Order: sequence, then C-alpha cells, then structure tokens
Amino acid sequence: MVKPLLEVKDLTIDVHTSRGTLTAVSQISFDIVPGETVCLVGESGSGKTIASKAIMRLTDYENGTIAGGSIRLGEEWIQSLPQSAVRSLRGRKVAMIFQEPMAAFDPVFTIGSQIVETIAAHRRERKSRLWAEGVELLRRVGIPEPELRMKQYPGELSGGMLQRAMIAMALSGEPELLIADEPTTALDVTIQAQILELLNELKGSLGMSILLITHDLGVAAEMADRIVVLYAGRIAEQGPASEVLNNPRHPYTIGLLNSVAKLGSQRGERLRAIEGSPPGLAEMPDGCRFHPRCAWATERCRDSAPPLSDQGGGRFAACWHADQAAADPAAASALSGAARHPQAPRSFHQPESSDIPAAALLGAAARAEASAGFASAVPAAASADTPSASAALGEQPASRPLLEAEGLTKHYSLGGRLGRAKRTLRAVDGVSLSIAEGETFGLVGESGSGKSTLGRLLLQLEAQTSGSVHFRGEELTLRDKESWRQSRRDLQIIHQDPYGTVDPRWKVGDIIAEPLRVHTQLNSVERRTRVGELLEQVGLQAAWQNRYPHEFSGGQRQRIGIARAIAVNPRFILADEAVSALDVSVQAQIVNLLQDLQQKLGLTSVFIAHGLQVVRHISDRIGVMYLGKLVEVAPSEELFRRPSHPYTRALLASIPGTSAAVRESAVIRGEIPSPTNPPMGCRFHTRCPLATEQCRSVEPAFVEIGSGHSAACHYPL
Amino acid sequence: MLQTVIARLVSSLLVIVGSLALVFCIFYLLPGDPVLSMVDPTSVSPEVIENLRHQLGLDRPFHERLLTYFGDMLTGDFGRSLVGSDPVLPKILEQVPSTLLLTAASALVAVVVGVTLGVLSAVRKGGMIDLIARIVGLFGISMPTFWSGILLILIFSVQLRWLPSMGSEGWQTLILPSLALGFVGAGSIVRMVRGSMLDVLNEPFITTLRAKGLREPLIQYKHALRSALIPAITLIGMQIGDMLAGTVIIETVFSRQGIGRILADSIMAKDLPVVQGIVFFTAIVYVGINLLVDLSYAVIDPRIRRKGAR
Repeated sequence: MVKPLLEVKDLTIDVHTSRGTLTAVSQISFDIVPGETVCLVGESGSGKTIASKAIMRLTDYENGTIAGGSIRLGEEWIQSLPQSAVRSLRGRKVAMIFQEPMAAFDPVFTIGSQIVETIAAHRRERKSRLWAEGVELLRRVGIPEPELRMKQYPGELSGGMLQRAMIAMALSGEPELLIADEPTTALDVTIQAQILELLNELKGSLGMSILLITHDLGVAAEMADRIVVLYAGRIAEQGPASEVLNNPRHPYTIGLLNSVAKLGSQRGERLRAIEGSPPGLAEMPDGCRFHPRCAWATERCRDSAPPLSDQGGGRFAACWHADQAAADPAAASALSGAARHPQAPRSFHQPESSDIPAAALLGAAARAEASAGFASAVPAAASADTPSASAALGEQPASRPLLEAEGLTKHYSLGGRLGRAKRTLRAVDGVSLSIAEGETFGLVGESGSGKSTLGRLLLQLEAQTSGSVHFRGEELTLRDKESWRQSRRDLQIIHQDPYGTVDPRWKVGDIIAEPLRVHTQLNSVERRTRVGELLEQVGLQAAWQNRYPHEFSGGQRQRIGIARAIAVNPRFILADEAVSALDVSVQAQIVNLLQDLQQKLGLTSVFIAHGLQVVRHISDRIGVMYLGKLVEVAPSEELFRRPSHPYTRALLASIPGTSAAVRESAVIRGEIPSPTNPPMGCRFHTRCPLATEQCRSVEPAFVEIGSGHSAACHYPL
Repeated sequence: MLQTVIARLVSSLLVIVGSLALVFCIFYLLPGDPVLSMVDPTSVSPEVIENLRHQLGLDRPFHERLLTYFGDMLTGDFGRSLVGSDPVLPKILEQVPSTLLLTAASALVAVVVGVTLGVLSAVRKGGMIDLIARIVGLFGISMPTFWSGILLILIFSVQLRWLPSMGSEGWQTLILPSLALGFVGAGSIVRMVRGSMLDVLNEPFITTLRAKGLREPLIQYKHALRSALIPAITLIGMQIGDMLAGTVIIETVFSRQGIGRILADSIMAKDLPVVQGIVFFTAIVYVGINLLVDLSYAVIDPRIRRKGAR
C-alpha cells in the first residue's frame, strides 16, 4: 500500500470565542495518498473548512488551536511545528484556493505581483524571471492573453478568470497537496464545470493530491476518489466515492442524497428532506450528534456517540444502526417521522412542513376571488404525496394568463459624466412571456443574464425602459402610484438572503405583520392571530412572534420571509434565488414548503435559481435567459429531455456529475460577454459550437418549435 | 485621470470663492464699526469719521462692496489693513512660512505617531503597545490644544528647562507647539488606523497571503497597511486642515509669529481686509491638501484609478 501523503489522526480543534472555548472538530481521521482526490463533504458548521485550515495551521490566526491528534504531511508533523516552519511549507508543499476568488486576492495589487511574491517567498530569483514564470502559469491554467492579465488588478477580471489565476498562484510552488475550499460555489455552473475540469486535468498531469471541500454532492461525485462526510464536527461516514454515493451507510449521508433534487426524480414530488437544521457549535447534542434529525434514533443514540466502525470495502460509518439504515434508505425521509419527537424540540428543531395544521389552511381556503374553485379543488390531503396540482394545470398554459410581459426592456446607462463615453447596460432586452394562473415558471441563466432584473420588472419594483406588464389583463405601472400600491398586495417576493432581508431589530411578529398593517384593516389583535396562523403555515410556532430574527436558523428565517410574502394572500410570488443560500438538507424543506403553499394557496410564481435541478423540480415551465434575452422556453421535462438551444444544452451539460461524453459534445468555453456590449446577431454566437455566418449577423427570432416549446436559434437542435 | 484633476480644480475654485463670500457676509452682518476701532470717536468729529467711511467704501451698498472686493482680488489687490493701513498681501506672506512650518511639523508628528501606533496596536492587539495606543488615542482626542500646550510648557520649559516656551527663532521653538498640535491629530489617526487595520486583517485575502507562505511582516506592512491607509488618508487630510486652524490658538499660547496670531488680532480689531486675506490663503491650503488626498487615493487604490477607464 502506498504511504499516504497526508495523514490526519484524531484531530480535535478548539475555537476560542468570547463565549468560551468551543470544539469545532472532534477526533477526525482521514488520509490522502499521492495523486488522490478526497472530498470533505458537509453543511455549514460541519467543521470542514476549519479542518482544512488546520492542515496548514491557518487556524492559529483564527483563534483556533489543535487540541488533540496529529497531522502528518510528507515527513512533517504539522501540529507540533513552529509557525515559521509551517510557513515555509505553505505555498510550496501544500497550497490552497478559496471560495470567493474576488475576495481572496488583495484588490490593490496586480495579479502578476501577487503571483510573483508567492514564488519569491520560497525561492530567490530575478524579478524578470519570476514574471515570465507567472505568465507561463497563467497560460497553463487557460487564461487568454496572460501577459496582459499579469498587469491587471483583481477587480478587472471575472470570477472564473480570478479562480483560474488563483489556481495558477497555488501551482507556483509545485505543491504536492492542493486544498480547494468550495472553489466553485461562487461561480456559475458553466464556469464551475470548466474549473473542475481544469483541476482534474492538472491533477493528472502534475500528480498532485487534492483535498476538495464542498457542500455539493454533485461536485463530490464528479471529483472524488474518496469521500469524507462530516456532520457537526465529526466524521459521519467515509469511503470510496462510488460506495458512499450509491450505497450510503450513515443516515445523514442517506438523508443528504435523498434531499437533492435529481434529474431522474419525479417532478412535483416532494423532496425527502432531513428535518431540522445542523446544530451550532455551542449547542451540540449529546450522544450521536445527528440523532435529533435521524429517523432511526434510539435511546442508545441519545446516550452515547457511535465510533467510526469498519463497514468493509474501505468504508467507515459512525452509526449504531448503519445496517438498518443501509437496508431501507427511503425511511430516512422525514415524511414518515412526524410523530417521532416526544421530547420538547430544541431551538433549532423545525417541524416538517407536512405538519401544517388544518386550521392554518382554513384561512387560505377562505380566499375569495378567481382561485376559489382552484383552491377547493385541491383537497386538504394535499400534504400527501400527490403530484402537484399546478403541474397538471401548467402543462396547459392555455388557462388564462395571470401575468403577461410584452417586449420588456431594461437599459441602464453608465458613465456619461464629464465627456466620458456613455454606455448602455442592456440588462433585459425585449422579453415577452406569459405566465398562466397557478403556474410555476422557472428562470435560469448565468449571472449577468438578466434574470433577476426581469423578475423585478415583472413585479414593477423597477420601471422598464420600454415594454409593458399586464396583471390579470390590467397594465401594471410604476407611474400610477395608487394602483401600484394596490398591486403590491397581489405581487410579493421572497429574497435570496434570509439574513439580510429581515430587520434584525424587529420582532418576527412585527416583520410578518407589516404588510398586514399596510394592506388590511385588521386591528392589532386580529393581526397577531393572523401572524400566528402564518407562522404555523410555514412550519414555525405561533408563539414565536416575540422572538428576534437572530434566534432563528437560516432555514427558519427563510420561512419567516415566506410568511411575510404570503401574509396578504398574494396572487403571485417571485422567489429570487430563495433557496440558494441554504444548506442542502434545509433547501429541500423550503422547496417542499414552497410547493405545498403553492398548491394550497393557488399561487402563481416565478422561481429564479442557478441550481438547475431545483428549478426543474419545482417549475412547470422553464425559461432560459442569455444576455438579457429569453433564448428558450419549454415545459420542464421537455426542456431537460430535448433542449433546443445550444446554450440550454450547454447549461445542462454543466451540471456536476454529467457524463464526460455528454459534456464533451455540449459544454461551452469562455464566459458570458458584458451586457454593455452584447455580440451582434445571435448573442450566443461567440460561445456557440454551431455558430455560422448567419448567426454572427442575423438575430434569430424567438419562435415556437413544438407544443409550448419556443427557442431563438437558427439551428434548433 | 486628467479629467478628474480638472473637475477637482474647478470645484476647488468654487470652494475658495464661496468661503470668501461667506466671510464677507459674516463681517457685514456683525455688529460694530471698524472705523470706530481705528479712531477715537470722542476726539474726532463725525464728519471725519464719515469721510473715513467714504474713503474705505463702507457707505456703499452690500452688493457693490462685494463686487468691488472680488474685482480687486482678481487683480491681486488684497487691500490695506484698516488698522496699520499697510498692504495686506505682504503682511500675510511675511508670516506664512512660520505657520506653514508649524502645520507641517505638527502633521508630521500626527502622521508618524498616529500611523505607527495604529498599525502596531492592531498587529499586537491586546498587548502593551495596544494599550499605549489606546491611551494616546483617548488623550489626543479629548485634550484641547491650549491645555496640552500649557502642560508641555510647564513640564519642558518651566520644570525641566529643556526647551523654550515662546518665540519663533530656531528649531527648538518648533518642538513644543508642534507636539501640542500634532497630538490631537495623532489621537484620531491612531484610532482610525487601528480600526481599519483590524478590519483588513480579517479580510479573506489575508488568509490567502498566509496560505501562500508569505512572512507576517510582509502581509501586515505591504498588504494590510496599504488597504488600511485608504480611510486613514481622508482623516489625515481633514486633520491637517484642523491643524492649520489650530495655529490660531497655538501661536497665541506659544507667542509665535504667524498668520494664526494675526488672524486672532485682526478679528478682534474687525480688520476685514486682513481677515479675508488670511481666509483666502487658508482656503487655498485646505483645498490643496484635499486635492492631494483625493489624488493619493488613486495612487493607493487601483479600483479608484481605473473606475472611469473600464
């Protein structure tokens, strides 16, 4: 057997905070042999980042200390070396790349000088030699015009380019181990696919090992030789990637895999969420740390922590009931476990959304107006595993449109002061679409494609440059303040960041009651009753009205945001990346909640997200945007089965885990051009493998190519 | 870049004209009559006073006086002092070097003490230097200059007899006043630099620099300090302006020559031409410093430099 390059044994890391010493990572052990990729998979608070930082002893700078165990890298025992000795290993023997390439570069120095100083930290050489070396490194990682990039500042490069430059910088010391901490989380799927491919290619040609930290099982599936699953600072399970992914033994791994929307899964079906959310450092449960969220938990799990035991085939799992769990993975779904928690829930415990009490539904069912028939058509049994009623409707967009956009255009002008050339940012450029009552319309596209701007235009939170929006046949416009204010009642929004979109100094009850104060005549007692109803409707407790937002977890806060959005019984909801900031296991709960509410309240919605599988799961139809234009609209299944536009095909091929053969044929190179200067003709022609002369000069019309399936391409696939 | 400089210069000119107009208005509205401070009304007949008024143009309407004033300024005529009837311009220029020297020395004290202590206290947070820095910061911003000036005189001139307490001859006379004046600026600079250094040291890119294997001093002084200086420079610019204003008090306390002292005397005597000459001069210096501050941003921070270029 090959001697491991990195050997982590019983590593325990303490973090010193103002509230005392907390243990972030407890007794984790894993190793990496040369040329191997190991993925540390976990959610927030799992300790994956701090464990990776400990390998370089960067924890010393963040109030962390290695309280026990050992780390051997090559011949060095990291945990007992003085900082000066560890420093000389950093960048040379082990290098690291980070999640936010924009924040990971010093903004006030050029890319070149930052690469040069990295090499100079370990090797004495003439400056001009080092500069030339830097240029070579940039070329090596596929950056065009490397000489020019060397002289540029980080703010002048795109996220994808910066991450490449970051990789180049990491390679400069020819490290044996590369630690990549969520290297693609902040990037678009298309760019993510490119970066992952680059990492794999480099690993192959340089023979280095990679420790990849990720929350995304798709990324792990694509990259990992072996996977280590962390939960709440401990290893839940580890083993060869295919084994862990296909035949998980730990209930947490099983739950994680279940909660991801997969391409093969039945659309409209509920996702199998894991209950609750990961515990914070200060509130670790006793015994097995996963037991409060586990379907198999018994007395034994509450009392004592299971050791990491050998499951055969190089696999280890820390669970008392691994055999049971592996035998019946479906049981990990929260659907079956509603009555399993006799004891008072912890503060982080969230009731599953399927527990929505019938009483809360009455308020919704009592809604008058056009949806009356629709709402009652959905029986109270909607919480069961029935296919989405809206899906049934959505396949027939013939039902009357609720929201219609006609030639919507939004241009922002930039500069223009003091004789500087005035430029126009074409965020949205002539988008027409119609959303049927009860339908869920998904919007996808890379960042810069204009999907969020389109969302805000649909709600008239911003005035368009030209075009119009009609809501139930009447024009919505910012110009008429009074009717605009009225329309707010019908059109609501759920935002991405559950932390930034609630006022931290307001009580939750007041946050949710605010729209009621604005739009209804309810008195304060009635408002409280209604807020209680709403809280229960989104799976929280009515008594939590007097708490402040910081007392809630991210997922719970997103529920608060949802409660606020549905408070005034809107007809339409815009969910702008509403689940993107949440942990995987929590994401599934929120997706389920949104689907439930949509059925029960007869909501129509636009769901914007960059996670393609989630969009497919929740949407009836999907629109694909590129540089301010809709390039394809089709029913979800159809779009994924038969994408017509090469851009759609490329997006789909970028989903992590796609087979190499499929990706080879479809994946796109390069990055989305600037919306201030979109290409002539078809805007996608600069990246399209099929582009011809016609594409370069003539803009393709957006035409119907099948039933409910339209695309803007000269050569639809 | 050039456009930015031109735009800055235009707005600077507006600031100078505006401040002159403001001072003119304030003097116009102030009660009291400058002529009465020039002559003794009990010994001179009203006709003479009236005559003098006419000579000085004080009997003309407001807008006429304002226009004449700006007209004279454009031709370089700053008028004559109402008290000594000597020309204003030479009188001010004669005193300018002494005041500029004091301001520059004070600024040097403030920046050197402020930045050094600020950086060291952030880097060695919680240590001895941090404690000293925080004490300097506290005393600097809470002690008025006339008080710290008198204290310095008591200790170093009266008790220890190391340094002269007054006068403007020789470098020794510069030390105490520039310490007194510089200390105030140092106080706020320490706090600002410490705070922004600590912020920058928490930025993700600092972790990158450590992960690259760079030495701590390089990380702290090359990388962190440069970013931390951006907010500090704004403050330093304003502090220098304050120090220029502070010379009014400090020059009086230390009996130094300089425009600060003339300004104090002229305000007492309602000697409008002198006051306006000094305001004009001060405004130029103030505006000049702020122009330098704005330009130095561009040198330090490429994001500002290239904003218009992309």
